[in-house]
Amino acid sequence: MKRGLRKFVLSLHITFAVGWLGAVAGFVALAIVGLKSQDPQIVGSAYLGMELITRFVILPLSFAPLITGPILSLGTPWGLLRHYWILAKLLITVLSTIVLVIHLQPISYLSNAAANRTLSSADFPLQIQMVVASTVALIALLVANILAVYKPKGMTPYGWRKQYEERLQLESQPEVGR
Amino acid sequence: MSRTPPEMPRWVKVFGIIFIVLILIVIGAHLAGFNFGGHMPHMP
Repeated sequence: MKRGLRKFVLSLHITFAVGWLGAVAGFVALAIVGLKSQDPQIVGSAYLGMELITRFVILPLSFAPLITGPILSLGTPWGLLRHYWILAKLLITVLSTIVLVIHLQPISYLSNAAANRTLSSADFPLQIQMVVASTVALIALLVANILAVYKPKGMTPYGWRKQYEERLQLESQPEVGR
Repeated sequence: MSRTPPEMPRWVKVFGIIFIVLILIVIGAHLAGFNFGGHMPHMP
């Protein structure tokens, strides 16, 4: 991948990843407000906000890194399956997106319920689930970003084999210019 | 360069253990009745 294109995709990838993290942080705040507030209007607003943020910000931002990440890693010597930190990031991104998609229906349910009536004790487990799931997602995304910055050492057996083959290939090539 | 692949780093092992524990917690919560959306009083 050419340097200019790589920088462009990298900028997109960082923007999506950090934007996703920020949006989930906003979701956590609204989930806590929805859980703790006694005012039905505030609770209704919080859950409506949660649903809107999820559909129009978090959902697109969760799928975008699944596109830019593999493009970036496959277009550079890093590769997609060569380093453990890239695999870990991919795993976090895929799982967080799956968990998000699974929670779309409960989020809509809470938003509709809070808009039409006062939430009851029967809704409490779902409210708790929203806080816990989004907090775990926030921590997971934070870990993914830390992995991207620190890039901890560690090559997968596949990555090691590829590197070994490439070195053997380089060594077997006749040297030019002698 | 050695002919054998390097050992898995410690951070990967720790990450793997945390990941497995989280999966077990989710499965445990699911079996205990905290399934995704399953405890919703009634779906619209």
